[in-house]
Amino acid sequence: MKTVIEAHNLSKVFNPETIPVRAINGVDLFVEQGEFTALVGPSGSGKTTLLNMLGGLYKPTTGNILINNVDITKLSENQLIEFRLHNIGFVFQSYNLIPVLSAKENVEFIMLLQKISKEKRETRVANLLREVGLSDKMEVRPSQLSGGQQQRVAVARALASKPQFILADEPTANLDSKSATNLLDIMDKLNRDENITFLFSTHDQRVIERARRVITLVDGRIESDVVIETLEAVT
Amino acid sequence: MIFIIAWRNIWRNKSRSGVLIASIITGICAGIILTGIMMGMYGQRQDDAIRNEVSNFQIHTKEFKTDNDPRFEIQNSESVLNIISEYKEVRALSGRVIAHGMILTAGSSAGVKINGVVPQDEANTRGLNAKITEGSYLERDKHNQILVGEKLAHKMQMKIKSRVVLTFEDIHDNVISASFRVCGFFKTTNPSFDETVVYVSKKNLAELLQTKNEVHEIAVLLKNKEDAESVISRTKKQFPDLLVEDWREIAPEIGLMIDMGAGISKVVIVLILFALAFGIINTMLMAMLERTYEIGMMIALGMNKAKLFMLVVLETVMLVMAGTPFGVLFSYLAVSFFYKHGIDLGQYSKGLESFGMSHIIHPQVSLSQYMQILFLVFITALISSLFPARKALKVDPAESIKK
Repeated sequence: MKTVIEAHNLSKVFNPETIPVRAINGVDLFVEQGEFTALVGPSGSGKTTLLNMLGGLYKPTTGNILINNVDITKLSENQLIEFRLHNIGFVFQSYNLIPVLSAKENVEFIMLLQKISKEKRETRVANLLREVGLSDKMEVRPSQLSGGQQQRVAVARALASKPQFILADEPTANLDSKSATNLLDIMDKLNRDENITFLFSTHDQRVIERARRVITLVDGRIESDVVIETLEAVT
Repeated sequence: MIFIIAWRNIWRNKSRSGVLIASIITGICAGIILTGIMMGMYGQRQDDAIRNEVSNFQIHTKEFKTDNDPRFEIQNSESVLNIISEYKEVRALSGRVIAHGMILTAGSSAGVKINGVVPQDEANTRGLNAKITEGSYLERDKHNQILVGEKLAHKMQMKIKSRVVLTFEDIHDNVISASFRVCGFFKTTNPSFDETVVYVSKKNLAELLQTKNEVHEIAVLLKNKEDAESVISRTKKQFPDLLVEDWREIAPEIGLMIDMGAGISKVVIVLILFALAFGIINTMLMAMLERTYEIGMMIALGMNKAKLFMLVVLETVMLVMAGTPFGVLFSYLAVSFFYKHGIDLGQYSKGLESFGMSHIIHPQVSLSQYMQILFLVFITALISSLFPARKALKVDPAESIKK
């Protein structure tokens, strides 16, 4: 199996010069291609901070993050933006679609940033929206979609850039039970059929039950890391 | 796509954008109409100055221009007049004999410039016959008739047929006094001109000055003022010994007044746009504040800073440009309406007349002025967009998507 994320001795201290808050403390983490991993833990345990660091949104205070053997902690701000565009997909808690664009345009947006040709974009957008069950909502704006539908568009958008992996920060937090299940089914299918790597931060038991690896964070440290399918604790 | 996002973003908050667009329309209208009024005022002053006072250009000897001495006549002036009258651009021309002296009545006196003219030529160049308010115009070859400005006549309590005495030096430095009878009063738009210039017959004045049959001044009125530069240049080449001056050189105070008017209107436009810029910046900063979350998300997804910067600049420029055509259209309609019907500033007529201006203003804005204003509006939008764009670039994606 190919390792897509490799983090060594990660730590993150906020406000180091005033009131230091150690959000992440000495985390080592390896995520392999095709994993469906949940990052769990109580509020304030550092799940979102770790996810943001892995996504290149935060610079770690110490440690390194290698994605496909590229140390993203050494990249400049502009290089990181470019790296994220081509390697990392994001699904945020609050859907985060561009409200003035239709579902189709939202998915197409990221491919436009990647300068993909119109023909390829249109084919891929149609395929992705079909995969998430929104072929009939292509021209609809986010405000006319339900929360679950918006989050499915967000998943399609995350996949549009053909990333190495998708980081999803509490993707089901704002969804009702039916929409959450529907979204999880789609992500599970994408993981199994297309070997797409997902890393979630979540409190949601439904997500945890679907995950095939569960990493528990407490006070910025990994307390446990369990591979569910084999029921094997690796740490 | 950035273009689409920018355009649609404008209409996300319709009332806020609407208010800004309304202020842009108002600002542009105010700027253009004000420019129109200023240019109309000063343009009319320029036209009046050319039509009533100085013509498009004048010819003198260099010595006469310096000394005002009647000895310095234009040699072979008849031939010069004939050659210039052949120019196809020339509408009319007038050769004048000129003396500077005093006008005296029984009770008062004043310094005047005495113009000895051929009545018909002067009627053609200055339209003097049409400016008679009382009495009659000069008659050709009729001796000792004098035409005085209405203002001078009132000041010196003259009446039609009053007798006045003109005193001046002839070419031999003898002081000459001659009696004239007032045949009429004239009134131009410039009271100071009316107060200091009198007209008598050219032949009459030439005899008193003892000059040959020559003139001191040739005033040339053209069909189109746009031809002035080329005709003046041609005349200068043809008569290198003579001093050929355009109206700006002859009456620099009028040129200065017109330039000042144009300058003031530009300053006012810049001030209007400056005020507008604050409105634009405020609106766009509000929009950026509201969309911090969205901007952070776009950066997280991989939108680079150049594209983000471009998005904000485009949005600002498009917002401003959305109002601009309406501003231009409304101001064009207003300027056209008032150009036709005039704006009557009757209550300020005395003040305006003292500057030689009519109280009926016909605003006029040239295409180049419209273009200048549009360019300034565009630049204002561009500069105003820098502040919100800078704000957008400072958004921290991780912090903004935490919300």
